[in-house]
Amino acid sequence: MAPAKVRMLRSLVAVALLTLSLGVGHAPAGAAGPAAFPPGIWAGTAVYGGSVSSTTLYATGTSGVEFGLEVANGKVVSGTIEQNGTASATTTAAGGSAAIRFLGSLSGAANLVVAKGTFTMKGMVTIPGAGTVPLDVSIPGGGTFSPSRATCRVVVGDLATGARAAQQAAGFSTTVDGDFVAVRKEGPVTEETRLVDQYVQVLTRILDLAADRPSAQQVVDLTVDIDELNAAIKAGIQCVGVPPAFQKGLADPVFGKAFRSLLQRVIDEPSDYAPEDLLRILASAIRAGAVGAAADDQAASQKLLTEYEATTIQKLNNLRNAALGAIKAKEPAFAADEIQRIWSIYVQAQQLGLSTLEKAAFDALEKLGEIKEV
Amino acid sequence: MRPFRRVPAIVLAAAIALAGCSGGGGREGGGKGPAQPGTSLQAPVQTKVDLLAPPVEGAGEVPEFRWNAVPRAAVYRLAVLGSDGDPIWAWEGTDTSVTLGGVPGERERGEGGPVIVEGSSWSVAAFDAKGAVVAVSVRRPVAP
Repeated sequence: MAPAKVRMLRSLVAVALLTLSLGVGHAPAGAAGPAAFPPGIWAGTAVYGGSVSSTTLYATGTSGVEFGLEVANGKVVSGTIEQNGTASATTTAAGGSAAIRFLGSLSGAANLVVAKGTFTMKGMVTIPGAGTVPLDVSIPGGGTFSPSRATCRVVVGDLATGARAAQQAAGFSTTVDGDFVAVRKEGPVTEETRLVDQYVQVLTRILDLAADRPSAQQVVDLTVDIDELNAAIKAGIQCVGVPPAFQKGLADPVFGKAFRSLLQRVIDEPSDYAPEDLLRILASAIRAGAVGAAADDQAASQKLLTEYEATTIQKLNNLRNAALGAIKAKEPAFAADEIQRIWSIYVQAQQLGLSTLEKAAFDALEKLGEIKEV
Repeated sequence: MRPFRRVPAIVLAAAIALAGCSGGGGREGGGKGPAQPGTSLQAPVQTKVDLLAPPVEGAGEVPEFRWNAVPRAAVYRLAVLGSDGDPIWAWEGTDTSVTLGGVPGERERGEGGPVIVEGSSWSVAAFDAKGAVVAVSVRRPVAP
């Protein structure tokens, strides 16, 4: 048989083995799965195998897979994967078998791990009329895989999800699967440290603001930071050691108490604050869970709500008087500004369920001729 | 209930029935409770904030709130009230959606934070950069 035909048939068997796509070699990029590797260092194993067939090709094989990866902040920061096994393939013109190996690195996201490396096959191809010829192929390969279920300690999934999709798309029947189990070997020390640091920073900031008499905008900004901390705690609440005082996540009593001390400081000396500022600060406390139905200390919450509402009413009445004075003094622009502010307070009082303030604002608007009975 | 109108021209027809405008003491006693869900917030504007989600029923305990953007809005303020009229949660920001509690995702067992209860309601008001009201929504009921 001509050497060119031997090479062609050998390549055909190699392609048949590749079609099996053992390991993650040549598996296409898949979609992110329904679960993700939690933060930490993971070690996984899988048995990968099955068969691929069509009218002109049959390939089968089995292999063992081992991988390890470290996850932090939702990303695979490092990792390796190694697969070793055997496979055989027959075509209408030739057949063969080979030892297969994939060696690669892991990266990507915790819910979609990316493998990149080298896929090698070493074996023999039997060609009728030409005997047996060696097969030694090494090509770049890669693919993706995702967990299907994850807990803090164990993650499971299938390495072959992408490979099967590709095989079926190419018209092959396939039984290939690669169920894996990964176990967390170590917790993410850096993640724990980062979370504790973030917690301490936010708590310190609350206390600093309480000492410095914050602006309304500073308090609003603070709630954004608290949201971010809550999100970080939520992400790690199962798998990362959260600060001892923050076991209840969004309803942390330490935060609630600190935030209420800030609120108390403001309302004890409210002269620097406009009524709109007081409402924004109060709304921020509700957002942070320090005041309102979700607060851990309902008595303290109700006390602050009452004090803020009463003080805001006093300031609202000042606004009303200023507006009435401006109208009397024929200063319509100033009066309009004050009336607009009262309207804003009125709307926010309705929203926040502050019915006494709401009535006071309504009465003020009525007195200013903004609202009249019909 | 006390019919009223704004002078000179804007008649807040849909808002007339809002409870709490007709007097009452509120928190310190004598209050008439929260405004009726379904009625509009009263404001000196006719522009509405259209509320898109969650549904009135079956919203889950931790729903995502979504609404349409409003021209000239510099900030949106959202508030969620319980059946007793006390605030469950409040939020302000520039986005047109937010999850109750500010953190998306299902709550783990034992995890704290605000939750929707039967008889809850929510509303959104839009303000311009100077703090003036530019649009308000209805007070929409929501139940888990």
